[in-house]
Amino acid sequence: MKKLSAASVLKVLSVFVSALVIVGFIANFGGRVSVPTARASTSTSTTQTINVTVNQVITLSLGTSTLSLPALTPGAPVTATTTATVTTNANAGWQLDFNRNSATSTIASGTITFPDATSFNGSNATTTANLANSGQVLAFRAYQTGTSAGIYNTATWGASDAAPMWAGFPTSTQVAVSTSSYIGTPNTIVYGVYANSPATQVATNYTGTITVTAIALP
Amino acid sequence: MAKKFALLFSMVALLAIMRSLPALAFNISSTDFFVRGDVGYNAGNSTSTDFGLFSNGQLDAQGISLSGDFQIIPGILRAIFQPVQPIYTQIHYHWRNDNGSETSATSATGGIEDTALTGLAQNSSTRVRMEITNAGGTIFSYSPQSFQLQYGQLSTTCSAISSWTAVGTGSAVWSMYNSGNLTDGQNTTNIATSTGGVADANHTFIVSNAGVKTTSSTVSAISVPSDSFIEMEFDVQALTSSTPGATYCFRLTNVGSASRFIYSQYPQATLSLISQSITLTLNAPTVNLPALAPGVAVSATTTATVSVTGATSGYTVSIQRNSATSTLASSSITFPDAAVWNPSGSTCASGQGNGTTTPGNTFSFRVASSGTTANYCSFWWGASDSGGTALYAGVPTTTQIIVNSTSSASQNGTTVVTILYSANVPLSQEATSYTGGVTITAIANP
Repeated sequence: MKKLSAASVLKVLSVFVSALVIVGFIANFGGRVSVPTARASTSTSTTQTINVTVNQVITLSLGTSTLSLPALTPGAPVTATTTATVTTNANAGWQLDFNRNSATSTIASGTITFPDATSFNGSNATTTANLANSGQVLAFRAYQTGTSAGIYNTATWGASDAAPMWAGFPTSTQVAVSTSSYIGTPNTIVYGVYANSPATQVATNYTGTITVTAIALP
Repeated sequence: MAKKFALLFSMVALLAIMRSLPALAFNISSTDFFVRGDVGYNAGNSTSTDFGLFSNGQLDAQGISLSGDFQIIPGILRAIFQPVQPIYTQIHYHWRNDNGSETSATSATGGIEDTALTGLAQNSSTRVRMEITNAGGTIFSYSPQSFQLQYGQLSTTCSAISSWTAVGTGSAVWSMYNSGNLTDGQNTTNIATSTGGVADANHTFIVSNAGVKTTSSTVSAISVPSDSFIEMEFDVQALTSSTPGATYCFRLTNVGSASRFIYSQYPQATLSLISQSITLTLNAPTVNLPALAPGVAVSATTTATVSVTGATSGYTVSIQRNSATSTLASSSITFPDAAVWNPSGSTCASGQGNGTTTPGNTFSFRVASSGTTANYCSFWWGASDSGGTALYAGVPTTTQIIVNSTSSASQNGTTVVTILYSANVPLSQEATSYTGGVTITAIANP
């Protein structure tokens, strides 16, 4: 049996941050508009309406550009976590998407692929036990601990970090975390990667990239 | 004895009917009876071997309401001393400024009723509150009255005026003014004299009166019962066709008929000698600032064109925001305002004003030098429009002067004030559309 000697099995080489800036103009011509009229008087007043639209802005920063997992001994899963921080003024909330950058596998070593868990579709994360039974795979999840209050979704990622749910990185963007209302302060999301492999997995260094995208909702 | 008594009361009642005002005192004596009324308190009492109390139903003949202005007596006394015909007395008035609602407008005569108005400019709206009381009866010739405001030019006394004209009709030199502060036909309320009300001249204020008039000078027909009074308020202005310096008297009639009217007081208004007018025109009713990316300030300008005549001391332009909370908002989400403008005085002078060159992430405004043809005040708004020099301030919650223009064109002519609005917000400001109103006022200097 080959031993995985690589110190790092996952390397996030790049992070593509996409911020969707949405400009919404809402006409505001409510009853407070007064048509200016020339009114004869030694004292005359006119009301003027002023409108301004504040555009949405959003920024995303990752705690680390590269996430290195501990050396993996087949059969003994390893995990590592990092953070994503979303700051936005979006009044309808925002979402954080994940996708892997290779359709073949999230991480690979040349042509040698590392098995992925079932791709996340928004609601199919599974327990650690199920993950282990599926064939020792690469998976990810959002963590409750360290994630800003009100953002962590227990239905998607488990009731707590003690009962986690995992899913494979999707080949196309999937919403992993979202909010539907304005939060004026920076939001931190802790997410982590789980890796395990069968004894037959070629011992080498595996690397790959994922893309994390923050979107301000219209 | 009974015949004597009946004859006596018949005579008293007849005398009362013949008088135009109620007889409020009686004093008579007889070997058979004695009746006495106290003038000061209007209370009757009587003693007689033949009768006891002479009020109806053997009730005490005390008055039920006492005032320095009116008295009400009950029972048989009322029947004896009450005139049978209505007596509509124009008894009090009060000139008010057209600067607020029916309740919030202020007195134009320092809170003193029955005081003539002076120095009124042509084409300047003002309000006169008038009180009619029925000190008479409701038996004969009693019907709903359509109180109509008339004016006449004073020569000697108001009562000597022979030609009265309804306000707002035909070639009248006085017209009604449809002020945004009032709604034609709304009810007047019994406000305090200090704010422009009038003293209660009778016992009962008629609450449902439709007495506020802005579009026509005639109040909807209404009955004024005995012991009641009505207050009406008319928003009027003297037109250019009026005579500068002239004094005008006002009265109420029943659509022109002064039958059964008594005029204790005539509102009087004397026009200023110099015809004065001022108009303010904004270039747009709405200013849309460019879409704002937090951290990148945006701005937009608007122009206020002021045309004046006869303003020998020029004029001022003032501004205020329409919400005390913030100038701009999106429902409950407020847009931050800069420190509100305080000119520190009404004239442009060194060291005055609290403008800043760095308004920061706020909504602010300034008068721009460029495009302003009136007296631009560099002490207030900066030596120029350049960044670092131009001064900004928040729109104040109460009206504050932003321009005091005294140039010749500001006395008779047209000048322009250019106002610049500027906005910026921090990244955390919620992305949405904000709106709000400001009120710009031009006033001819006294």
